[in-house]
Amino acid sequence: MSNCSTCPSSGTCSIGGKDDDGLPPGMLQCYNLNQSTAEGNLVWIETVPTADGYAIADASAEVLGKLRGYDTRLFGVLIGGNGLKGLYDAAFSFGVNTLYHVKEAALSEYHPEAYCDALADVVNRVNPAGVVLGGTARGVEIAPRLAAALAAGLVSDCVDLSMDGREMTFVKSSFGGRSVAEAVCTTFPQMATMRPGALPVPEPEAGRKGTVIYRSMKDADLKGIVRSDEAGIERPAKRATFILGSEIGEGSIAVAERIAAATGAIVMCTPALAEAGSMPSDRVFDGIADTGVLFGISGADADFVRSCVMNRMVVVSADPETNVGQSADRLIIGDTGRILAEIDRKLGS
Amino acid sequence: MKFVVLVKEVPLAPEVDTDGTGHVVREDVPSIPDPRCMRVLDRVIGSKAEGDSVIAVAMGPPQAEATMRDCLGRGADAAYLLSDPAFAGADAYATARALAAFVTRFVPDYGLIVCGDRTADGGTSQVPATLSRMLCAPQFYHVTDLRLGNGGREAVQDYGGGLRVCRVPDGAVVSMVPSGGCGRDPADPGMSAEVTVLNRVALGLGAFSVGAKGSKTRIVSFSRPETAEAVDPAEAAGYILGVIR
Repeated sequence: MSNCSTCPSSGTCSIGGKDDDGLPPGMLQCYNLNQSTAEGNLVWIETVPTADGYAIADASAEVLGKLRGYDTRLFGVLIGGNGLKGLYDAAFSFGVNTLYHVKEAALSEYHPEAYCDALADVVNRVNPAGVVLGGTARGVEIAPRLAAALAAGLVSDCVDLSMDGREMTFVKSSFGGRSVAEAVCTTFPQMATMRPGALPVPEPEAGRKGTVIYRSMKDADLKGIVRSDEAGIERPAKRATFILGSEIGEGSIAVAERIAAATGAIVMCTPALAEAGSMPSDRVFDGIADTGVLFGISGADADFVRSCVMNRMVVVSADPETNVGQSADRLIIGDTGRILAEIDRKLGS
Repeated sequence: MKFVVLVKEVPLAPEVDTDGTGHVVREDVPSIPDPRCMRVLDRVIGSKAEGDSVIAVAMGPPQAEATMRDCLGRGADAAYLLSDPAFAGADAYATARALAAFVTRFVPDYGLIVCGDRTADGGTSQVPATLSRMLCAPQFYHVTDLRLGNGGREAVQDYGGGLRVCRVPDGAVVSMVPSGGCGRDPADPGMSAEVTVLNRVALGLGAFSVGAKGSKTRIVSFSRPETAEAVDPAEAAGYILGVIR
């Protein structure tokens, strides 16, 4: 008979008592009944049209290349019509073991809601431990919707990931690359989007084989697309803008103008530089640009820089402790005059 | 039509730090209204037709009330701040859940939810899509223009490889790329209009569905270099040329 003090049977059981969970000792630890059974990783394989069909997007290949290095099953999902059949071998060559093809002609066109539903359907069937997407324009749109549909955590814009068993740790940069954070998801599946170009594009391993499983999708949630062709839709010109700050020297302004003339960029300035009389007030930057390179930025320009909106921002400053690079994609510390002169030299001016 | 515009107050990077659990500490940290959000707010207010109303909403610490007053000064008809100590440490999922609860309870008859494409701090771009899925609403990302066409409201979307135009039904969530002219200063930043502050209970949310407890992700380490290192001019020049060409 057991001497177990917690045994509800008062020592009359024949299996030596029960633990705090009301189970035979060690049973919960052995079977870990509360643990998710999720296993393997799943990748949405984004495709891009080419002259002779479709190709796997680099961002997806990068994710596949990273995950094939781990000893776990790798699932891929293709969404679209019959035209994607030619990509099966390419997917296998990047490490996919099982490829799901959601075959639906209507989904040859991109519809985020329908793509999300298709991916959720496959994820619920496969029950993967990780779902990773390339952080492309489409990837960043689908991933959060998919995460919400699966009630899963999502770490976006990651630059690297690692796996320990089934647990994934994601590395991401924030505040314009000025900070680096490691993040984990607290539930399965663990989801992430990877920044395009952050991982190397893998070499395909020819001859690898896998399994293809077809899925259909009835009553897809399609958008009312009025026009999807580029022709006839006026697209704003995306010229780079140089914004010269209060620390730039007189001589460097002329160099910046020369570089802009050679590259098609526009030269503007911060209010502080205009107030100093170095540039006319009608050249003060209006605060919005597609790509902006800010030269000679100092603390006097800080408030102005923070109010700027750019899809891509590079800040060049001589001050290593500058705090104006908050929103920048890249902060370059260096001598502005020498950097401009070097660009000028490379352009052969 | 009622436009709900999502705005955010973002901390200034150099002052940002995390607590022992990896969550960004926002209390008493100098913050600014996110410029992208405010541009989008200005744009929505600028396109307002007769009978339309613009409702600005943000989730943040009590100090974010200043940002909401800024929204009212710019012309928003109402401003709501979702603020509660329990909201601290929320990731995009928990943030979207609070916003979804707000919309469902306080603006169920909304026409469109509009927000910036990303913010200056996390820059995750997650909240619009997460919110739209929680509201079972269609979503429109990378929108460069929102206009009235023959068949109703249309969105021009730029996916990088090409533009497309889609019809936007009522109830959609639109993530806009800010564009256009200069951001506006508040017409009357000192105006006395009230900002409505709502806490967790007012939104009808349980303690385990908000903030860090309701989040699906966790930061396990956070590091920030004390100072950036100087870059070789030739290397910097090569990088910049790659960016501008």
